[in-house]
Amino acid sequence: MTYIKLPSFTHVAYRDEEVKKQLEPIIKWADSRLHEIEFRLIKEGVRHCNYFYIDPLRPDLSLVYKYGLKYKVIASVKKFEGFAHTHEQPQSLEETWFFAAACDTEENAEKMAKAYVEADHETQGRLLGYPEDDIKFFLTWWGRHLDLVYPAALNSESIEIGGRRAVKFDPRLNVALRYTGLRVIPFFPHSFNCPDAAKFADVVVKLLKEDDGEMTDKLLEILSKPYRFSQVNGIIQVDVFEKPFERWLFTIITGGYSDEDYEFYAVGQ
Amino acid sequence: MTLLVMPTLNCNLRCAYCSWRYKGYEPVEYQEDPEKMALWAVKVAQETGHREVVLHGGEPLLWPIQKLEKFMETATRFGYRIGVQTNATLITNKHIELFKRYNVGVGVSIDGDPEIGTSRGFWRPDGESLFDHDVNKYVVRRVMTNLEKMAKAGVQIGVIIVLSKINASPEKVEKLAGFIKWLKSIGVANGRLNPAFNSPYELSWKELVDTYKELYYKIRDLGVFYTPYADFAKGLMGNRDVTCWYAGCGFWDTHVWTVLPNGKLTACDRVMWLGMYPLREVRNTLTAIQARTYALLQTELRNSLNGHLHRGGCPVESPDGDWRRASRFWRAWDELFEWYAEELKAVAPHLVLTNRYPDKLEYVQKIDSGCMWDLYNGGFRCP
Repeated sequence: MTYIKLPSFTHVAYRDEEVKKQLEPIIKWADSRLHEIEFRLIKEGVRHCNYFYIDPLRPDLSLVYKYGLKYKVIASVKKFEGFAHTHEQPQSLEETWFFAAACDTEENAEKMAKAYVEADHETQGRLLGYPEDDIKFFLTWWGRHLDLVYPAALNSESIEIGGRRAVKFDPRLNVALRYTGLRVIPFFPHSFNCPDAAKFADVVVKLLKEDDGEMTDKLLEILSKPYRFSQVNGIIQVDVFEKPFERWLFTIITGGYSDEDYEFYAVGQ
Repeated sequence: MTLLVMPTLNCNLRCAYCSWRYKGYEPVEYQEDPEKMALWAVKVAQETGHREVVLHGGEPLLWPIQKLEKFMETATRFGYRIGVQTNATLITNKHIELFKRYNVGVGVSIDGDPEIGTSRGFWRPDGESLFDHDVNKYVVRRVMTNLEKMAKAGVQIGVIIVLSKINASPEKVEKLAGFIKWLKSIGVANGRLNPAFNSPYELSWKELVDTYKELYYKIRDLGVFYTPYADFAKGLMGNRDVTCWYAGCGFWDTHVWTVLPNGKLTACDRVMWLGMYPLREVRNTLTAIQARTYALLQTELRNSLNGHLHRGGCPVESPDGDWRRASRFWRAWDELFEWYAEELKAVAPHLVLTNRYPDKLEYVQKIDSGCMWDLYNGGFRCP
C-alpha cells in the first residue's frame, strides 16, 4: 500500500434538484449545530476538550467564551476545502488556520496540545471523551488507514439484503457521510453498533433535538439510508440510495489516502 | 467546455456501438417547448461562460423544423452560436436553409461509406443487425447525400467517425482513409476519430494503436484536421486546450455540460450512457475535475510514460464502469503520444516535447496553473 496525496475536496452529486433541496438545508444545519455541540459537550461533562480551527484573519472565539472554556493554539495548518484526512503545512498567512484545543481547564488544554504534538492518540481520545473501545480501535488501525470507516465496517455484523452482503449500522453511528458534515458522533466507532458510541450519540441527539427536533429527525433519516462505500485509486465515493441498493439519491466524493481499493455495502437498522 | 442541449433522448437509429437509448431514472424524454429549452440553455451558458450551444440527443432533428427554428431564433437573439450534432438522416432542404440562416455548425456522425460504415443504422444490443444490411447501407448513402448537399450549400460541417471492428479493422483502414479523402473532396476537412467502447465491435487498445497509426500515414498529406492527431500535437507541445478525454475528467464534473429535455443540467452525454444523470452544479470545478488525474498519476498511471498528457482518458471508458479508473484505452494513448512525438521530431527535431516528463504530477499542476511550456529549451515559464 502506498499513501497518496490529493488536494482537499468534497463534492456532493445529487440525483436531481428535489434531492438537493431536501438535503442542502440539513447539511448546513447539521454542520453548524454539531460544530457548537462539540463545544457544549464539554459543559455537559461528556468530554474535557474539543479541537477547532481559528482563521487568523477572522478569528472567532465566540463559542469558547460562550461556554467559558480555555483554549490553546497548537499548530498552524493549511486551510482545506471540504474534508482532509491529515494536516498540511501552510505556505502563507492567507492559507493558514490555527489548529487549537478548547478545554474545561488550562491544564487539560496543555495536556491536549502536548498529546497532539507527541501523537499520543490515547490521551487525545480520552480528553475528547471518546469510548475506550473506540480509542483502542483507533490506536490499532491508525497509520494503516487514515480513514477508519472501512475497518469499522470489517468489525460490524453483516446480513444478506438486496442481493448483497451488507453491514448493519446504527444511523447515529453512521460516519460514512461525515465528509459533508452529515453525522452525529465526531469519532470512528470500532463497529457500527458500538454500544458506548451509541451512548455518546444519545447525548448529541438530545442536544440536537433541543435545537430543532424536526431537523434532527431529518438528519437521522438521511443517516439511515443504505449506502455503498468505496475507495478506488485513492478517491473515496459514497453512493447513497433510497432503498437497498436501488434508487440512487446522492453521491459524496472526497479524496482518499492510499492506493488500496476496497468497498462495502451498508444498511441502517 | 461544451454545452449540449437535448430536446429529446430518443433517436431514430440504433447504431451498433450505441447504448440504444439513455437508461435510468429520467422521466422527461422530450421537450415540447423550444423557447423554454433555449432559455434554459441561455441561462446555463450565461452562468458558465459558454458561447455556443449544441443541439444534441438522442437525435435533435426529431424536433420538427418549426421547433428547431424557434430554438435557434431564441438562442441567437441572446448572441449564442448554435451547433447541431446529428446522424443527418432526417436532413431536408429546409434544414439546410435553417443551418445557413443561423450560421449553424453541423456535426455529422458517419463511420464510412456504405461498404464499411454500416455500424450506423439498425442494430440490436447483442451486436446483431436488426434488418438486412442493405437497410444500413441505405442509411449511410442517405447521410452521404445529405453531407454533399450541406457542403454544396456552404454549411460548416465536421464529422465524428467512431472506430470499431466494423469500419477500422486492419483490412478496412484503406477504405476508411478513402472515405476521409472523399469527405475532403466535398469540402469536409475536419472531424473526430473516436474509439467505440462497451460494444462487441470495440477495438482492443493494441488494435486501436495500429489503426490510428496506419490511418495517419494514409491521410496526413490531405490537409485535414482530425482528433486525436491534433490533440497529440497539442499535448506534446504543451497546449492545455485538448479534447476533453485528454484534459482530465472528473465524471461528476465533466468538461461537457448537458441540458436535458426537462431543463435539468447534468454531466456529459457519455455519463448518461451508464444510466447516470447527476445534477451538474455550476461551481469552480478544477479541483473536482482533476482529482481523478492526481489520483491516477499516483496509482494506476504511476508508471505510465505519458499519463500527464492523456490523464487516464475518458472515465466512462473504464473497464469496470468505475470512473476512478483509467480508460480501457489508456495504454493506447500512452503509446500514441510516444509515437506522435517521433513523428513531430522527424519534422522539427529542435523542439523539446513534453512526452516522458519525469514528474507527471508536477507537469499537470504547472500546466493547469497557467505555466507555459518552453518548446525550444524545455521546462516551464510560470506567471
